[in-house]
Formats: sequence, C-alpha cells, structure tokens
Amino acid sequence: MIARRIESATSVGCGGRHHEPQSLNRYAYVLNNPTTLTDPLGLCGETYTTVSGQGYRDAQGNLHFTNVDSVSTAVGDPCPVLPFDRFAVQNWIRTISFYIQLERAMAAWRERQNALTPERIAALGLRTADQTFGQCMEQNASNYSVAGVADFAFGANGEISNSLMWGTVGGNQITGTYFAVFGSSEQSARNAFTTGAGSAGNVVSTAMGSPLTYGRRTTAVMALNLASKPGGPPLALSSAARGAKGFIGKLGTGSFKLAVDIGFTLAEAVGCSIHE
Amino acid sequence: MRHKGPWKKHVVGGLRITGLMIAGFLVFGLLLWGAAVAFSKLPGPKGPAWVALIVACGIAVHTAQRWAKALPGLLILAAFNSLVSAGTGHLINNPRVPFPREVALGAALLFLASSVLSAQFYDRRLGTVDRIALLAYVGFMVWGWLSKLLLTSLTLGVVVFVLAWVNHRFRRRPTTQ
Repeated sequence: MIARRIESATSVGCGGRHHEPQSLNRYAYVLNNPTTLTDPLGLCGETYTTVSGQGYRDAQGNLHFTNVDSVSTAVGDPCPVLPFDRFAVQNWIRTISFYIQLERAMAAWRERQNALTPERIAALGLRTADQTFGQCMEQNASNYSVAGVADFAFGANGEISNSLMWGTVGGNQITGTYFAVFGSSEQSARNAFTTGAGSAGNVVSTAMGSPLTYGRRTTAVMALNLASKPGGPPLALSSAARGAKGFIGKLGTGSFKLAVDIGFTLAEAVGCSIHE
Repeated sequence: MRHKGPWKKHVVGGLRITGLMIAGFLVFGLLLWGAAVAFSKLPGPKGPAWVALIVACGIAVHTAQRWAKALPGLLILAAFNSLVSAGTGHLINNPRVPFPREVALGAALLFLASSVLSAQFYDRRLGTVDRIALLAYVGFMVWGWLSKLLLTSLTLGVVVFVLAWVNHRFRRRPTTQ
C-alpha cells in the first residue's frame, strides 16, 4: 500500500458561532428563522475543515489517514442578514450610491448658484435659495414689464417702472392681477378687498366686490360681446351690446400689450422656476 | 406677371408690423429719454436731449394717425391697472410701492375718460389740432411722471382731449347764412 498525500474538506454546520446556538445546528435552514431570512443560493456561511496528510481511500471511497500533517479551518460567506439575495443587495448599494453621487452633483450646482451675487441673480430673474416662487415673482415684477424694459434701456434703476404714471400704463397686467387676487408678501390684496383698510378701502371693497366676483364680471363682459349671436345670450342685451362692441373694437390694439405682458409673465415664471 | 403668394404677403406684412412696432418703441424711448434729461435738474449737457426730444416730437406728430389707434386700448388697460391698484393699495407693477387708493381710483376714472375720448381719433383723419392734442397728452403723461403729479397731469390730458373733440364738432358743423 502506497501512502499518498490526500486532503479532506468537510462542512461543519452553518457558521458555527457560539453566540448563535442555531448556527451550530448543521441541518438548520437560515438559523431556523425562515420567516425573516432566506438563503435561495445556498450561500449560508459554513465552516470548512481541511485535513492534510498521508493515507488511502478504500473501495467504498472513504478516506483513511495514516499520518496527519495539518488541520485547518476556514469560514465561508456569512449568512445573509437581509431578506434579499446577494444580487439584490448589490443593486440596492449601487442605487444608493448613484443617488448619493446625484445629490453631491446637485449640491455642487446649488453652491455655484449661491456663489452668484444677488445683483446677478436679480438680473437673471432666478430664484434664490431662501425665496418662494411667489416672492421671486414679486421681486421681478417690475423688471418683466414694458416699464421695466424702459428702466433697463435708460439705466433708470426703477425710476420709470416704480413711478405711479408709467407703472400704471406700462405695468404688467397679468402679474398685477395675480398679486391683487392672491396677495403678496408685502400686502394682502385679499384682506384689502374683504376687510378694507379704512374708509377708502371700504369704498373700494363695495365698488369692486371680492376677488371671487371677478369671474362673474368677466363672464358678463363676454356675454355682452356675444349678445344676439347664435348661441349667445339674447337679446335684452343686444342693443347695449352694439354700442359696447363698437367701443371694444377700438380697444383691439390693447391686445398687443396684453400679449407682451403674457410673454413677460411666462419668462418671469420660467426664471423663478429654475432654482430648486 | 406672377403674383406674390399669400405666405409671402403674410411674412412681409408681419415683418413690416414688427419693424413699425420697434420703430415706435424707439421713438417713444427717444421722447422719454429726451424729456427726462432735458427737464431734469441734474448738471450736465442737455443739448443732445433737447435734440432727441424735438426729433421725437416731430416723428410723433407726423405718425400720429398710426399710433393714435393704439391709445384707447392702452389707456383702458391703464384704467384697469389703476382699479387693481385701488383695490390693493399698491402699484400693480411693484407691490412694494404704495399707491394711495383715492389717487388710484381717480386715475382709473381719468384713464377711462381718456380712453373713451381718444377713441374719437380712431376713425377720422387727424387735423393739426388733433395731432397737437395727442402730443400734448403724451407730454402731460411725461410731465406727470417727472413731477409725480399723477392726477393733475391726467386731468390736463383729459381737458386737451375734450378740447380736441369740441374743436372737431365745431368745425364739422355746417355754417348757416
């Protein structure tokens, strides 16, 4: 019989950790806790014992050692502690790291934005970090109007757009109505309408009604314009409508101003939507 | 001869309108700048401003037949702005600037009156008095801006329009012998 060098590797239980008694049980599946743990790939950590030495294998294939050189123990992969397999965990890690990188990139971009001077932010019409959308719109209302363009063209620094005369004539109707109906941080138009500020406010409140009646008034004007048309309101209005329509026809050129204001408002809204 | 296609007419017409609008803004800007510098109390040369003002006034009088048609629409929007300002108590263009409600309400009425009166220039061929009245109205608006006397300047503007209307009615009336 020729002794030859052989090795034996045997599995000795799942983990074999003394602080986890179930890990000493060779036949326990995922520490006997299958409701919270899974091990679909059979990767549960095991302890491998390797014996090196001389010996022989009998006819049944069993090993018989005549001389043992060394016995070593190695610990395999640990048991999964999450109810996912290894690949799912890796995907989670990749996803989380991607979001971390994305967040870092956004933070760097935000930092660059914050490094802009307030004058530059105002010139670009962008929203600063501490502003709400409404505050940004309010701040830029003067700039995004015909009067604001005149300011810019002449370097007037708000003297044109903030004057009562040109602010009224060249002001932006769209943003102005927006502030009037929804209020602003400087004043609350809704309160002014409903409660009134002194006697003048009450007069205005009585004369103009609440913001909620605007829709009805607009509808009434439209109805006036459609009076005596097929499908339009009849008829009692038609004689009044003829005169009104004649005058409204002369007001058509004002639609150009409204179109300009809508364009300004959209540009302002885009600028105020950029940050954050 | 081959006729121009309708699309060409539209393109040419659109470019023409755009050019006229830009030219109109330039003339108005010239008028505004000239008046602001010429009448300001700040030291400095005022010759170029006066030249700009005179040139702008000349162009404005010459082209009054065109831009007078835009006045009713612009002024009715100004009246609407004033009404909103009367409600909020602040300038429509900048909510940080207070606007006395009484003044805003008065301005709304005067702008409305101006709009109705300026509609008289829409259809008729403008005479010398009409052109002078229109220029005077613009001049009063500029003066109201420089002096901050909103209601006074608008009232004077309305008076000028009323005078133009009376003059037109008087001249149109046939003489009896």
